[in-house]
Amino acid sequence: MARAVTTQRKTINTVIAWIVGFLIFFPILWIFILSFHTEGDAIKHPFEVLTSRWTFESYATVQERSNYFRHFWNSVVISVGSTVIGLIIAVPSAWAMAFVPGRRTKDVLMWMLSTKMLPPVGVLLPIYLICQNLGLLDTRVALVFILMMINLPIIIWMLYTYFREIPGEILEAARMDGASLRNEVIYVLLPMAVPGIASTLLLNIILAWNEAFWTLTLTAAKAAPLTAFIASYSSPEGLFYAKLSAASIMAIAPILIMGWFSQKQLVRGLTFGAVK
Amino acid sequence: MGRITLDKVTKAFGEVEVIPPLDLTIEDGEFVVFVGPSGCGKSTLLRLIAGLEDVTSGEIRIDSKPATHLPPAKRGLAMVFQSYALYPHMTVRKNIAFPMKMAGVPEDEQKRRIDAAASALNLTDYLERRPGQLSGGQRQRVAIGRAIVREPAAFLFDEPLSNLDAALRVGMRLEISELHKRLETTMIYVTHDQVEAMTMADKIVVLQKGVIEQVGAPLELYNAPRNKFVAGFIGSPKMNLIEGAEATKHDAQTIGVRPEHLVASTTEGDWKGKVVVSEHLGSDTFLHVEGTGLAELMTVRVGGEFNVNHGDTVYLTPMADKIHRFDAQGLRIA
Amino acid sequence: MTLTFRALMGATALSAVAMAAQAQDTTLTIATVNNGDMIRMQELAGAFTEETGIALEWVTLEENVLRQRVTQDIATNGGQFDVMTIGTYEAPIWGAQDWLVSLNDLPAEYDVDDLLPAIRNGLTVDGELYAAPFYGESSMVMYRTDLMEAAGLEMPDAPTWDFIKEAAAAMTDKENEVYGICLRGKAGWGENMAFLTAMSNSYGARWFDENWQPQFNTDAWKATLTDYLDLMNNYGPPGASSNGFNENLALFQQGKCGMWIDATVAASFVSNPTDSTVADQVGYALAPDNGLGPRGNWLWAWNLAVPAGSDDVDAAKQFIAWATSKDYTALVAENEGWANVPPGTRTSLYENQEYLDAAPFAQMTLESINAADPTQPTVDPVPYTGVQFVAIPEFQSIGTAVGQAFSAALAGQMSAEDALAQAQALTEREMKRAGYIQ
Ligand SMILES: Nc1ncnc2c1ncn2[C@@H]1O[C@H](COP(=O)(O)OP(=O)(O)OP(=O)(O)O)[C@@H](O)[C@H]1O
Ligand SMILES: [Mg+2]
Repeated sequence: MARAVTTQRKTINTVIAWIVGFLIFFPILWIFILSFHTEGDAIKHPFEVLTSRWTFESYATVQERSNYFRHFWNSVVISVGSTVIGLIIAVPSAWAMAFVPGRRTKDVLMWMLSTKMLPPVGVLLPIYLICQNLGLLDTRVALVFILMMINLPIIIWMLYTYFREIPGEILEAARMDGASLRNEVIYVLLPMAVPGIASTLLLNIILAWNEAFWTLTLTAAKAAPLTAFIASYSSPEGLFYAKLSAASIMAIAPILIMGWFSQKQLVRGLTFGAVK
Repeated sequence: MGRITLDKVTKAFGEVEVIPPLDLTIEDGEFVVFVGPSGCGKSTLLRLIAGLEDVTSGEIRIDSKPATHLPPAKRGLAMVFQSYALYPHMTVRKNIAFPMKMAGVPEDEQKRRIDAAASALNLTDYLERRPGQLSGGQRQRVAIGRAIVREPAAFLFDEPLSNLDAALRVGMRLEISELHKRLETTMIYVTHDQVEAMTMADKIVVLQKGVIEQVGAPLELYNAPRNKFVAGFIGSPKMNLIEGAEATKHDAQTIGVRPEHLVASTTEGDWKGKVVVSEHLGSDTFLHVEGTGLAELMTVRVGGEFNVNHGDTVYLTPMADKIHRFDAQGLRIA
Repeated sequence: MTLTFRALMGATALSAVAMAAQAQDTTLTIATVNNGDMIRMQELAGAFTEETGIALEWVTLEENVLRQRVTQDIATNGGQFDVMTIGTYEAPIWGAQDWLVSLNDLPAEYDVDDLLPAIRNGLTVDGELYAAPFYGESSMVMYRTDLMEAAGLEMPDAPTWDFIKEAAAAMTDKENEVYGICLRGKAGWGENMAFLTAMSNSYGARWFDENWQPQFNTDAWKATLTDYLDLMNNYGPPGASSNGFNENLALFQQGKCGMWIDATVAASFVSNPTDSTVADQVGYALAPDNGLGPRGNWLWAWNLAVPAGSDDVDAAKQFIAWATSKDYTALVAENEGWANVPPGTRTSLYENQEYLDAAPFAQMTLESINAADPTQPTVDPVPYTGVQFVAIPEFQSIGTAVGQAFSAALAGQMSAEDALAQAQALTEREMKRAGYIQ
């Protein structure tokens, strides 16, 4: 009897999980479907959309009209660049906070998080003017730097939590074995934190890839990433759903594929050579 | 080579002073064991020597060179942790090689030392495995191997055997003792275990609340404990401590008799009591006796063939020359 | 020896050519919106680069994002753009601020006098032309000829609001999802307020009197809003308070609207048989009036302008002169057909028989544009210019706030009286704050 209840529970939970998952995924699925229809079909009743003709037309138009590869490359440089630089700064910070905490460590962590509570538009003007004075408007350097600053709190927090799970004795052992601080971090801490660093890397690349506020406000032609590419297909007067969908699919496809593959990497990294 | 001197060393964590001023000298090649109740500061003391904790005040010298402010890497000591602290992402070979890699030992020399250590520690077949694929005893041997190859001035062990089962513990104990004889390197060893302390140590340091109660060879501590605390702490089972009229007879505040220094008889003796429990270990039997009017429970060791049951009456007589006398401060009266 | 010498000479010549090319290597960054005419210009702009050696970089943005980016750039003298696409709302404001470069010195063959006066006036401040119109539009009535016939009515060329009400009632068939009239309901100064402000002009209403006093407490505004709400509540589609141009376009193309009053560009969409199911049954008429003079249509143009921060003013002017010229019109006609040339900017286009033949809505567009006068948009005098907007910097936020109140009234969340009272109060407050009134 008790068993029957739990099986029933399980089924219900599974069904709920699938429904929630589907609801979350549905907009992307719908964008995907719309991208394969003509503009005229895309605004029809949902059921009619499904039954109307499928076509690559929108992709062809988008491909023809925009320099996809340039936007793509900008996105890669900005997201990977900002994340890697962020990690280089965050690893020592997180090490210090996880292994040699001071009395103010917790406060510092909270303070860093609090910077995420400020609406970005609040600092738009100063940052815009700084970039303008330094001649950094519409450059990838500016975006790499700003996105790095924006995501730094998250990177440090994530690394901090991962580092805290690493037994301090192992680092002490490295110290006893004659490792300098640098070697301790490079040979012992980082290899042990690989799964954590990988997921931090992945998450922050995704965040930077999707960042649309700063990438739109600080770029014009040269440094515009895929967010600007998507935005260029929105229109106040005229039909654009299909092309916008196609552009969106093209913009998220690389990150989706990367996420898919590195997810497998991640799971392997997590289960490999368990400690103790 | 490995003479370690602590001079008025103190350690406080915030407001709490864990080690009051403490002096201690460890001679080169000595096997020193730190014992004491849990929380008395054994690990802290060891970590101060290792350099993993900074002293609050005082001086540490290694080979008469000041080491107080040297980082652990520069002190030339090796440490074996209770949790082994192996690098989980490296093979056994890489684990053992790590300290040499850090010291810049040439490759072929590294290989030679690894092979030597591996054969001495029975690890030759496991060199390519990762720590996660080894048993507890094997891991402990890897940790020791990693310490040996550095050829340190001294080894520091913090309860290295406490995660092992009894049989393995005996084996490893012998291995470490052998190792000490072979290398003749200073070893500092922290343990809870009476047997480990008595069998392995050249010198035992008894600590209580960060204070050294007595330093000496195992038998010195056994035969002539400096105070009641050491008397009660060294020796297993514990010494019987008796106060009151019986102690006054011996001109002392307290007298102590070890279980093995009481003679038991079913017919006659000085003190009469009732058996509560008798523990038969085969070679020996320990009787717990109540109702003597001296202490709540008295422990006595008898031969394996001495046969009494719960509720039986026994008579106990202390061996006259084995009675320890302590004054009102708990100090030994010579 | 000779061989080496020749090779050397060749190399020198080559590098000389390369140097020349470099010297000419000007790049203009152009900010623009995503609409059919602009996209077409991007495709055809290769011809300009070939002709002049000036390379072009395009930044295409959604209208509101573009407005924000361009404002930011121009207000901070950012110099990111050499040419920007701006509306008729921004042109006079920014021109007056000296943020734009005057275009009075365009070459004679540009023929400034050919620009439609209504459009040109809206882009001129104190005699200086600050932007060149790329395409212009007004608003008009688009209606279903078949439904109109079935209702037994005939649409006059210049209908009155009373006729619109009558026709909307006659055409509505809610059971078959046919709604007599579709109008903008989504809140925003460029959304519902564009329509309502234009409508209010034909009702004799105005935003401000000569002393900048808000006028929402007048009977004219009350009549405007009440009629709008009656029309939409009785004959409009459900959920109209979130409908903008694209939503209404979709409804009309699917045959769900009897009439739709909106931008003249919509004509080319609703009459396009690949997207529209009612392409053959669309008629056009001027926006309605109440016999007071002004009609309920607006006037809008997307224009090209050079920000004062541009470091290539001459090249930028050269480009603007090319993109808004008669020759460009001819180029589009040659490549894409006359129906696709950008409308609403030049008189000569409407004298071209080929164009009139290809674009059935051309005449109506011209008349609609001519019917609006941005310098005298209302019955009573006003201190501002702009037909469906008030060309002051504060209008964006005030217009949107008022639009929200009216949209809420359409959604049934408040009464017309309350919406007007709220509009009056908030406009008064903002105008006081901005120092127009005490
Ligand atoms: N990092 C620290 N911060 C504060 N107090 C500490 C810290 N480390 C140890 N202590 C305190 O110092 C005292 C001595 O601790 P220590 O670990 O040296 O004891 P120990 O003798 O090794 O005990 P055990 O036999 O249980 O391992 C304890 O009271 C402990 O609570
Ligand atoms: Mg300890």
